[in-house]
Amino acid sequence: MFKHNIQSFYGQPGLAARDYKIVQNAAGVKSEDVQDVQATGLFPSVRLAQAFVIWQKYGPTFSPAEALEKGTLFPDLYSPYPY
Amino acid sequence: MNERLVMLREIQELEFTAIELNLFLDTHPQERAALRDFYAVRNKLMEAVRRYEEIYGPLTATGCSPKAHQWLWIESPWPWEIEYE
Repeated sequence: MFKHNIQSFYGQPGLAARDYKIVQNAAGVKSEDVQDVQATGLFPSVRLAQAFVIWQKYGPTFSPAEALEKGTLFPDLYSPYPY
Repeated sequence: MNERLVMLREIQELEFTAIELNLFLDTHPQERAALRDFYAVRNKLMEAVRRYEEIYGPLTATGCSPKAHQWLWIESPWPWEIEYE
């Protein structure tokens, strides 16, 4: 079971390309481009990302002076870390 | 110059706040409280700009000017020439 997973994750590009092609046609991606990318075997055909951003609620805010200093009006978005 | 910097700082703070509320309202147009705060800040900002321009001249080319017969817009200091700190 475990071996199989590794196999398909890094598996032969040909197999991945054939599966990927069916999905990609809906998005209008030219299938031969996809195959080139997949053919290199570098990129397994997995979903890139799933973003989840909490819907911002309006609550207490910084004063204008503090907001300009901190770079945001909203305490929830303020990050005291330099980077 | 100090009084001028204080007024400029206030305008910058109010404008930043207005922009932040603007961005928030773009995604939350129904948020009444934010809308109320936006108008409050906007009115304060316009008043602060009016007061500043009345004394020191236009902040934008289309701003008011105390000297009607002089094109103050090209006078120094330009924003990058001001020592804010």
